[in-house]
Amino acid sequence: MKNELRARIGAWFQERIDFAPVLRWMSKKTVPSHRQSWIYLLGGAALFLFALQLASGCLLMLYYQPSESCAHESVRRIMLEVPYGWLVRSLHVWGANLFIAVVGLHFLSVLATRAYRRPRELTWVSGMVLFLLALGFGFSGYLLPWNELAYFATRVGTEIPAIVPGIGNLVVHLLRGGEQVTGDTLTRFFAAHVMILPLGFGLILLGHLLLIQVQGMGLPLGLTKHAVKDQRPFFSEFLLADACVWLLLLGLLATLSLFLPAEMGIKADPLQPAPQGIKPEWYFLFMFQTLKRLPEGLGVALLALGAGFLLLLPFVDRSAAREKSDRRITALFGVMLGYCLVFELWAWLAPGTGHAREPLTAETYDLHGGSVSLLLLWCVIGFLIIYLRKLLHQNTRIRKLYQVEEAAGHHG
Amino acid sequence: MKLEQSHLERRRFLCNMLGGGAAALGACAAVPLVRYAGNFRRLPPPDFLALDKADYDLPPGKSRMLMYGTVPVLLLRTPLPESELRIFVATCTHLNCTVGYREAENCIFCACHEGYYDTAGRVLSGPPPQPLRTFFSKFKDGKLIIALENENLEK
Repeated sequence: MKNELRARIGAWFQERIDFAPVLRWMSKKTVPSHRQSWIYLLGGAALFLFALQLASGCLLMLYYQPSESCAHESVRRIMLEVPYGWLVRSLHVWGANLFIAVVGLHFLSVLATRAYRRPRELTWVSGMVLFLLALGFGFSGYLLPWNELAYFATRVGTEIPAIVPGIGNLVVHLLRGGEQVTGDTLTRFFAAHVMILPLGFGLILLGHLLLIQVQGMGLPLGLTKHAVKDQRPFFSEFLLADACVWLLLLGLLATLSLFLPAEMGIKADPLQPAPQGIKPEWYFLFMFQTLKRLPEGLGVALLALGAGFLLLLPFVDRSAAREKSDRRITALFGVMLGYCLVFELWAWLAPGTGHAREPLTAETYDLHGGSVSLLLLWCVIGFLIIYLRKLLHQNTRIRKLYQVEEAAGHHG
Repeated sequence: MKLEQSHLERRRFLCNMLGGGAAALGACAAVPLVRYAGNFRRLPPPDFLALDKADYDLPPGKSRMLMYGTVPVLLLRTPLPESELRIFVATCTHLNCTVGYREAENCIFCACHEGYYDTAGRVLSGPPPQPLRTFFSKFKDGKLIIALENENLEK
């Protein structure tokens, strides 16, 4: 009865839309299986986190009020009054951090395997643009609670283009919507964060994903065809492994949100001097330290040069296209990574100021009850992961049986 | 080729378990999600509101609007010779618009769909299905106490 109904609904749609090509494409989409194939999970993880940001961001917009006088109050209200507002906002804040971290790992894995090489130059360039837009998301979203740290971070951050001769001041004016960081800056950052950046990001992401579908997964440089043990179908096998990672990320985010809920800070006051030891978010720290420690022009030039080099990397590293690893490029990666790590740590270890921690007194925030719920969530996640893995193995086994049968059929 | 029945049955079992797990996960997410999106929390209207003389002292034939929590209130002193103070919930019983007193016609009017009430809140004409809801009130220590429930006046 149930199957009959399903078949009828399927036939109804099939009559209108021919799914055969879609299904054929789906069954042919595969992911190579080798020792480093876990890195293929990173892009999917980033995609999942982006979807989660989209969802939690939409929810935040139900209560957030983007104006100089109301922004901070509305964030306070979300955290303290709205049922589970603390959870939604903490998921968004931690999700943003995790998103940047996962995108960073994705970026490093592509860099390490030289997967940007011909014919995947466009995928790399679109990915780099997405990375920069992701940083833009972080920067614009950081101001929205209109607290002291965000306010000064934005004042410093939007001042940077002024160093560029000629158009620098114009860019600063455009970023701020005026001479100074004011309520006009807040509304344009809001517009960028919820509309302009998501639209741009979405379009480029579409191109990025389309390129991957057309070209398939790249292999790490130097990996011979023999090292590829298997081609796993994407939808019946690889996606199940993807889902396990997504579930783990979801659990991690919920855990972080419960034990370290997002902070509100003190409302920004343009009349107050900047607090001592002010720092931006961790993913901007090495840039911040570069600007702080190096002469102004040199710092900006260095960062711009680094970004430009990375953006055009597939066209600079010609030997990778010939399946050869260039020692000089490897050395350059090492230097850049080392530089970022040293400056990152340097700035991170410097004494700084954080948001004043205040106890979260929201009606729906209860550490004991929340811990029990969290445990329950982890149980569900664990259960799902166990069965996802079992289904994955079962699907592999069935596929192998088919393959053996087919091979026998050819011989016989 | 024909797969053994056991393979297919095992696969079906696994899919069912995953469906159940996904439903549990959905339930975990649905509780905070629905409460957040719906803004479901206990926010009862105030038990009563005490009005100062300046708030309720109206000349005959005049009216005033004020808020009782999130409920708009219409205070109205009927024209002479009655000169009675009447207090209504100022939302039309038809489709929730805010009503207002019309001095010239001595009636309460809802502009959304042309509903007319008399100064006692009874429907004169138009679509409203019921008379306007009235507040309970009493004077205490020179203040006017108004409430939606009669028993709250004693609090």
